[in-house]
Amino acid sequence: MKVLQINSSDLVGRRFNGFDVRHLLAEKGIQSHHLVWSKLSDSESSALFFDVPGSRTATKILGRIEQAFSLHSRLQLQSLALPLHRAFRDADVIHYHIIHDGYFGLGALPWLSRLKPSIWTWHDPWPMTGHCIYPLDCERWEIGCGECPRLDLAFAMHRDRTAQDFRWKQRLIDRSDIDIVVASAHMRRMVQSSPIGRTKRLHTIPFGIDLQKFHPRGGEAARSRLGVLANRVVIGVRSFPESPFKGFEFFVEALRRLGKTNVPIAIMTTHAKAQLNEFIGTHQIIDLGWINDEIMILDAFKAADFFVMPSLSEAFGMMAIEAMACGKPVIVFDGTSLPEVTHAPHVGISVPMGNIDALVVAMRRLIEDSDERAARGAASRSIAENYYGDQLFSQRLTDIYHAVAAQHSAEGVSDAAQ
Amino acid sequence: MKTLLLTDIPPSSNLTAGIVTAQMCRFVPPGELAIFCVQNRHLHPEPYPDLADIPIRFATKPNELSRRSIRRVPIGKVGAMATETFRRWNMISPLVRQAVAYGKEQNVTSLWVILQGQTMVRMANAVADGLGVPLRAQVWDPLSWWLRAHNVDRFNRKWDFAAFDRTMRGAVACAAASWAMAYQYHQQYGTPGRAIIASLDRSMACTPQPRLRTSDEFVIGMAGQFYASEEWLRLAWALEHAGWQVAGRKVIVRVLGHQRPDAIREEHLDFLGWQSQEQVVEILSKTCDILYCPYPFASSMAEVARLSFPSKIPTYLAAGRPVLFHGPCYAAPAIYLKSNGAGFICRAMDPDAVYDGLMHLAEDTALYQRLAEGAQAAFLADFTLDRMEKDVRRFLGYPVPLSG
Repeated sequence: MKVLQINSSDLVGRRFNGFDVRHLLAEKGIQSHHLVWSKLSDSESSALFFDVPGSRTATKILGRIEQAFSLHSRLQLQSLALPLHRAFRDADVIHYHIIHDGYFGLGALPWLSRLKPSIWTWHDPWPMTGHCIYPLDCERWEIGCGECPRLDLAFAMHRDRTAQDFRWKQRLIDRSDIDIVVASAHMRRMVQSSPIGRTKRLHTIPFGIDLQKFHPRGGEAARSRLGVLANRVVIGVRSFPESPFKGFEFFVEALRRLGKTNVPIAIMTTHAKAQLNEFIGTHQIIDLGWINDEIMILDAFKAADFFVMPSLSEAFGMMAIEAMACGKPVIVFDGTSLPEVTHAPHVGISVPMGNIDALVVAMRRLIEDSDERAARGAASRSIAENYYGDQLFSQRLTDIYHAVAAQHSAEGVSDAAQ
Repeated sequence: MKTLLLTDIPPSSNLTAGIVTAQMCRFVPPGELAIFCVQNRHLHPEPYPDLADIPIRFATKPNELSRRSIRRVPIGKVGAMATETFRRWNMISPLVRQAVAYGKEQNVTSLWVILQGQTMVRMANAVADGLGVPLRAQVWDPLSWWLRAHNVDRFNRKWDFAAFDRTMRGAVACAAASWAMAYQYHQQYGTPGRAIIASLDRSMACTPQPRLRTSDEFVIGMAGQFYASEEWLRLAWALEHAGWQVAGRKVIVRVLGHQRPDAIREEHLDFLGWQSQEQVVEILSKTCDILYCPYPFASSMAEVARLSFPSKIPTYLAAGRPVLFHGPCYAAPAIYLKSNGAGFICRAMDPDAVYDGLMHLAEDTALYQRLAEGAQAAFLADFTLDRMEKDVRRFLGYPVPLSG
């Protein structure tokens, strides 16, 4: 069976767009290829979508026009050209991933989904909202949006067209013969509450990672390579000061309130740098910045003692399962997918959303209690082995590809009979 | 055998380049060296008495800074280019004629040119041709850095790079500022090269210090010129954020050199001004805990970082204290210090990264001792005058070494 994965990139998001499990899918008889807008790998199994001179520049211009008119994913008519690509024609199943970041006109989806059995993984709630990627505490996505309180959230709008866009998405998805996949029960509940998603066939497939690569061994060597000072308890965190969804500001405030601990600590950040300068001299700060090197990514997970992931919205939480596979407990906020993914409160620790004092208490517990860290770390690894391995992930994908293909052909037979 | 040294800075005790040049001149047998110095009129070099017998002639160097205004009258890019082109065509030839006449008068059989700045680059080949002698080229810093720092327009830059390439290809030997530079120029031009780096007398080496001097103070030593101002600022910010303490010790920044640094609070700065090399090594060894070397991270300075080698490094290594290198990992000094276990390399330019280096050196006593010992071993292996003498004599075409 041939499956074509449609995504904005092959390497960016490789762990959740199927790129990292293509060899496992192959073992199960699935030939998985990627058709991407931005090809970053040199793999023969991925190809550029709409590789026409000038198309990238033209699409950028269209993006600006959309922005000016408060539109999104409408004007990129090249998505109608998808069937011209041989990989599309040869595929038995089309698996759409992130198609809403400016290269794919969503209007083509009903037609495309009638041409081939189709699956769309909703990596975030954007398909269910009037414009935002995550609605945070707004509940208007459950009743059709309009009068949006946060037009500034990505993808931002100048004027409130959320009600129209909501209805537009609803029409398109209603008319699309497509199975929806989500990665967590949290997202599943959202889809079931959504006027857009609740009528669709829905599947839950948690993502999986290579547990041989992400494992707890080698922590000391990783700490040495990253320059962690002796006897430090290392807290890992993603530094996303500009994101309204990642809650980094809650971590910073918690660190301010943490005060003295009975063991020295090191804070290891990834992504944005220099966000914790105020703590220079108080704690060891290790800013790793944007990391592309896989060895360093693994070192970052292994060197940490625990992670803080204070996201205000999260559809799954890939970083959480990577940390867990490396035997590191994760502290999260309630109200996202993360408590469920980390199996809080027994394995991960979840605290009430936005409650900084509770976050401080949880951090202090894991800083000062090495036994609890170790116990939760071992349990985290065990959870990762049971639920988040790439073998299981690829098997679930294989099952759904076969099921969707079979269902499509059965519908075809039934249509023909009628 | 007699060599003509064509340089823009004469052997002198108060200029870093002059000190190194003087060291090199001392390796030439008496009576076998003459100097033609095309000197910036704003410099006031102080000659060494022991080199007073070397015949030297001075000429005035044209202004190498390309300005966009003349006497406050804006002339724009085109005007600046025209001015630089005028200098190129009208001010170099007279200097070449003087240098050739002087070389002939001194009966020189070889030309040693220090290719620092566009004037020297423009003169080098013409002087060698005029004298009809082999040319030996010495490079302190990549020409690109100098031309950018002096705002030379891109057309003149292109011509100067071509002149540099011609000179290097025609040279019989090259003295480079680092091992990386020697390797690159050999690959690029086929010119046999060797690194010649400022060195010190073996007797100046101080015993490596195994630990910080005191339990309540942390002194960061810094000697020489401030080429990497952004990195220096990051250190100052880091110390400011940390409340001027490292591992509970009060921080003092002790600076030796011509230039008083900015951004350091008065109560934490101990500015000692220019000191002799002997004094510098002693002060760094006896009164400092770590020795700080900033180097540019900026991508525009990548070539400089990769190929140059600051003369403060040998001085630091002689002091027997760990070096904190605040520069990119691809820089020539970083590669040297890392491979010789003689310094701590900061992972990035940011304040947290440089402060992290300070914390490592303050808290990790084993690391401190290892780096101090590594510094000493590196100094003795690579930066003593006897090692330098061999390299200089080889570069100048002498059999190795004659003097003891």
